Amino acid sequence: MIVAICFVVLILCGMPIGFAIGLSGVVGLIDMGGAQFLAVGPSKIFNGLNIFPFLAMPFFILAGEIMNDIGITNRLVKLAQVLVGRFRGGLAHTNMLASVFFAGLTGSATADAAAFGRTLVPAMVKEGYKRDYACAVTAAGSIIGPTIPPSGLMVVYGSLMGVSIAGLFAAGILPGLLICIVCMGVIVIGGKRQNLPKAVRGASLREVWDTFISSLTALAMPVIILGGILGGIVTPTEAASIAVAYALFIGIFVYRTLTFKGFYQMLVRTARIMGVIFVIIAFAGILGWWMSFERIPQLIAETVLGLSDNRYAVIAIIIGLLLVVGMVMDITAILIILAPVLVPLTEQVGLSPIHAGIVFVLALNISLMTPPVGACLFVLSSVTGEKLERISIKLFPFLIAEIAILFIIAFWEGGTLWLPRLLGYA
Amino acid sequence: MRNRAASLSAGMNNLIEAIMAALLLALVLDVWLGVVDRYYFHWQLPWPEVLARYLMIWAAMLAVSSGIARREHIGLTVLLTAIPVGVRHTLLIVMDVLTLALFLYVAWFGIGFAVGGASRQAMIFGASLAPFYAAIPVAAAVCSVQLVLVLIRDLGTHIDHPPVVTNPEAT
Repeated sequence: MIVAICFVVLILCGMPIGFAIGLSGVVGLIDMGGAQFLAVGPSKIFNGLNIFPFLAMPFFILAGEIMNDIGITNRLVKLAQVLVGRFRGGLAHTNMLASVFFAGLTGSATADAAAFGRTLVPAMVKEGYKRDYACAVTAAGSIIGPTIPPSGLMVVYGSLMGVSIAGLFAAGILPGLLICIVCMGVIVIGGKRQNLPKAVRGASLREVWDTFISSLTALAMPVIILGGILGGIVTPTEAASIAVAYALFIGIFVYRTLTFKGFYQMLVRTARIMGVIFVIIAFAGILGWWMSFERIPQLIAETVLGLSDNRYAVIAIIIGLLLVVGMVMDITAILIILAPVLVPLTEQVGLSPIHAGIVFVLALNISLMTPPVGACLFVLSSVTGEKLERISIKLFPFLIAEIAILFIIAFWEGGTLWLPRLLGYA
Repeated sequence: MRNRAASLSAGMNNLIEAIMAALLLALVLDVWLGVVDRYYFHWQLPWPEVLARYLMIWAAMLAVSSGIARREHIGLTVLLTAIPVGVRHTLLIVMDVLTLALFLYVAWFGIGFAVGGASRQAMIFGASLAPFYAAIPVAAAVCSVQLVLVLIRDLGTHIDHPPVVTNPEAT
């Protein structure tokens, strides 16, 4: 109890989450048996990070940094625009489709929100869209990034829980595409009421072909990553390192825009992002050990199952918990803390580890756009200058649609695990 | 005093970020070597995977101090903005002091952990685990120093006045 109180108080007082986890863990060690347990802290930190699949994360981040920097984003947006720009709300549809293309490069919702917040939102406003609506569309599409592989959250979940990352990647494709289709549906439904602009003329087949050819180098990246991993040829870490090599090759020899100075900046930025994420994982090593020692996961599982042992009710409770906690905490931290606690519960109601992982990842991704701590909302608000609450209001229909998809994915095991089963991962 | 702390913090951070970049570059090259070995040369080198993990831990742990210098670590600040400025500044100073205590703890007990690694062998050219385990106390010590400097630099004002980016090369 004292550990939970300590954690909540420190978080509310503004201490960074990783450090709050660390201090709470240390309090837990003292509570367990005094100073003799303090010596185990550093080894728990080291062992928490000493996991090979984690390596995929910095490589995916670095590959995304390089592809972003050398101007791939604009080519992908252009491709999406020639494909769906002709319809009413063409740029809103473009935003959604571009998020799908972008998802294969970075796997980061905030990177998507920042990139499109700087490029597509001003373009949409210029064409007559209201800025809050443009931001809402961008936020709704941004979570496609970490849902469609590669996904940093899936790497963290797979590494921590010993679940096939390739299987998680395979399972993430369908929900990502569903989000895109359903959000495009929301745009169509609201299109007339919002009086969304329509393109004066559609792109010719020649334009579509030319744009497709000029985007091929970017589109090849997800093919390399997913083809290699899902085909069982390479591990996620190897695929991520090959993606870095490919991105460097394109930047140096094809586009010739990558400089040594630029590459140095990308290395530093990647390491800094690693530091922010890995400090949470590192200190969660101490807290996680304390939780195992105190049998916290089993206690929570028994408590929830005491409320109901109905599979659907338990899944709904888990989703509700993730969405609520996601409103106030960083999603990586939630995953690191709650996955070991909740997975035994999902196992008891018969949810496979891959299925549970996708439900966790999708629920947490959705919480990226819920106030007050939705990271994508903050990014869009700071990049565009639009008020957070105005974006949140326009985001509401998209949010409802995405939560509906989350429940479909959670309850429809056959559909969610279709591709992983086809590829032999589930 | 505060300007002196700011410039020391920035200088130290520039050095650490250069080391982070070098470690990450070494990590990239190491994993590439592992891939080329596995699919082309078939030397069956046992060390690239092990070395990669240790390079990652060193890079990530050192990067924590960069996040401290730049105040980039994620926290909940919504509630803080609702309280009076004086209380907010005091609270943030207390949080910095508690964080400093955490890193001093890790640095102190980490020394024993690293020394313990000297008697264990890594799978890299017969080296002991000590240089790899040392990532924990060294990074914690660097974080402690950086925390003291940013504590003096900001004095709890970092939410109201976010610090200027210390290394314009890596924004």
